[in-house]
Amino acid sequence: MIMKLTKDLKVLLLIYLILLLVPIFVHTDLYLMNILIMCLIWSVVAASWDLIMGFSGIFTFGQIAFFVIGAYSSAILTQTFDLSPWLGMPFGGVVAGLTGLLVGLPCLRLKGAYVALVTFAVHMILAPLLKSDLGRALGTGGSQGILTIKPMHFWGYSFSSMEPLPWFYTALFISLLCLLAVYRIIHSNWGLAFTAIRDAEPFAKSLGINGFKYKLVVFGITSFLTGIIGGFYAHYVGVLSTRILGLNLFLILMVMLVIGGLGRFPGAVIGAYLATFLSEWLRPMGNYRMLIFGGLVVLLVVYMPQGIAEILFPQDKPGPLERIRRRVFPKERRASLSNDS
Amino acid sequence: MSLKCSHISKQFGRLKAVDTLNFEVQTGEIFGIAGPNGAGKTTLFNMITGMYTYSGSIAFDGRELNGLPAYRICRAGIARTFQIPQLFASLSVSDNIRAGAHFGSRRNKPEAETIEEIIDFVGLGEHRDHKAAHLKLLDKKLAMIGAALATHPRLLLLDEPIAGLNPSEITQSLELFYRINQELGITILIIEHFMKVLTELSQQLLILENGKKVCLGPPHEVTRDQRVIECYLGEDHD
Ligand SMILES: Nc1ncnc2c1ncn2[C@@H]1O[C@H](COP(=O)(O)OP(=O)(O)OP(=O)(O)O)[C@@H](O)[C@H]1O
Ligand SMILES: [Mg+2]
Repeated sequence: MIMKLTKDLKVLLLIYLILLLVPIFVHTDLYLMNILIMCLIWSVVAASWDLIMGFSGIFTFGQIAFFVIGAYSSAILTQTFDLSPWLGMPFGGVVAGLTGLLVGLPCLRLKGAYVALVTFAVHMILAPLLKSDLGRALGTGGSQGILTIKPMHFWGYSFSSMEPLPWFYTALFISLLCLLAVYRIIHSNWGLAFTAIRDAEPFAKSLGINGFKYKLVVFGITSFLTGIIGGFYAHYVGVLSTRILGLNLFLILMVMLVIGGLGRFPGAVIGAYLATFLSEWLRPMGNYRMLIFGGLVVLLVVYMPQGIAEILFPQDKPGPLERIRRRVFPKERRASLSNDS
Repeated sequence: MSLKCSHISKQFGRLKAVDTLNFEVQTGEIFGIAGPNGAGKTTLFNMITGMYTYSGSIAFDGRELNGLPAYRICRAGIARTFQIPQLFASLSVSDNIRAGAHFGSRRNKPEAETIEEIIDFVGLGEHRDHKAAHLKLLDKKLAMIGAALATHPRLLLLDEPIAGLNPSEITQSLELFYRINQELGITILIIEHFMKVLTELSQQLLILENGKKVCLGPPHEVTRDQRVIECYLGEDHD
């Protein structure tokens, strides 16, 4: 089926069109290009998390764990068998996706806060596991981590850290594919089932929706997508350690979702960009950075619970652009109104 | 025979919410269920639709339902509504109905066609694209019934479907139930507190109290039963 060109999709494509051109102006700025690439990476993690938490109402906190699993899997596979990162990334996605299914299984019978606890436990277990002898045997490098991860390549050309453009456009391409997948799922019958289960589970079941199946599906898909982009991250950054499992990233990711608004695609994508930049700007503040981020989560949840998506594209009233258009073209508005009725 | 419940019981801790109940519902009829608050009526619906585990046997057109998950029971041809209206609040009316048509129906009929038919049938045309959360009570109930009908059931369970409605809305709803029964040929099981509505609507009436059958039979017999008058009509009848 062809994708319907809804407002959500138009916004996403517009963003990608702008991103496509941005390097023309800033491609010499390594620092800025790096932030942009990180924006693209985190947008996939945030959108996946939003698919399971926002659209499906399953309160998981395992997204970073799946990201890290994807990253390590891709790094280890490409290292051990001397394979291309282009194979490593989907492999990372598959390993993360299978882990997601495994974590999803016990969560099927649990509700709300308990799912959060189980998935957070997975997050907490992961660091010691990667550092353990078992992890070392698998090639995680123990506490030291993995220090030499293959860079990406394309037709024999190997990407270098001094040239951000190939990295950027690869990230642009992969993230767009992942986000289009998320969009496609939201607007499919799967998406209908996810949201139905979120809104009223007994009603959904009474209408023939297999709750178990679709909860498992959403666990699998979101961890798969997160794992793929985790794989890309590993090859881009070139080193991996359990440090990314710390609370900093966790908090920043939460800010992404809260800024974007839960269940408001592509809100999480915009949230990811804003939070990534914010996090960079606040870096000079040292330890206060996380204090500010924590405070921000609280403030946003209280005063802007629907996120930026509700401000940019409100669901039940005209958005800012529409309001400006109506003010500028009042007649057109009347004409279009009479057409509608 | 359409639905046959044999020795079914449901226990919550010490409470026997449904206590070794037996009854049969015939194909094509409207079967009323009444009883005081806490009698076990909703619990009975939750058992039939696979929302609870229980002991005993429930057979639908000869097929045993005990042990089937809720979604399979829907696909076997049993749909229901809920006492407290349940809807997919963030979705439009037509998407609510689409969920039933897509996941619950086993007929090879284009979804879009089913949705249009149902929206017409329950009379929600002007609310088609409205979010379910913004509907008024009657329309919520109609949308819930519409989604249930979209699964193409042979048996429809209605749990206090007219509670909270005003008289004209009640008339409208009752007409709809008749049409569901007559035009669509769907067997209906209906829980209702208003005895008058049930005596008019149903061919058989089951009175429950404390999870037990007090009386079962045609309405005119049941309303004359001394035990029914004591346990039920005494307080609620006006
Ligand atoms: N999930 C549950 N857990 C424990 N007890 C329950 C549960 N569901 C119902 N009960 C108890 O079982 C009894 C029957 O409840 P049920 O909801 O079936 O009554 P009802 O006949 O539908 O009443 P009403 O007319 O108020 O809707 C009540 O005492 C209720 O408190
Ligand atoms: Mg009840």
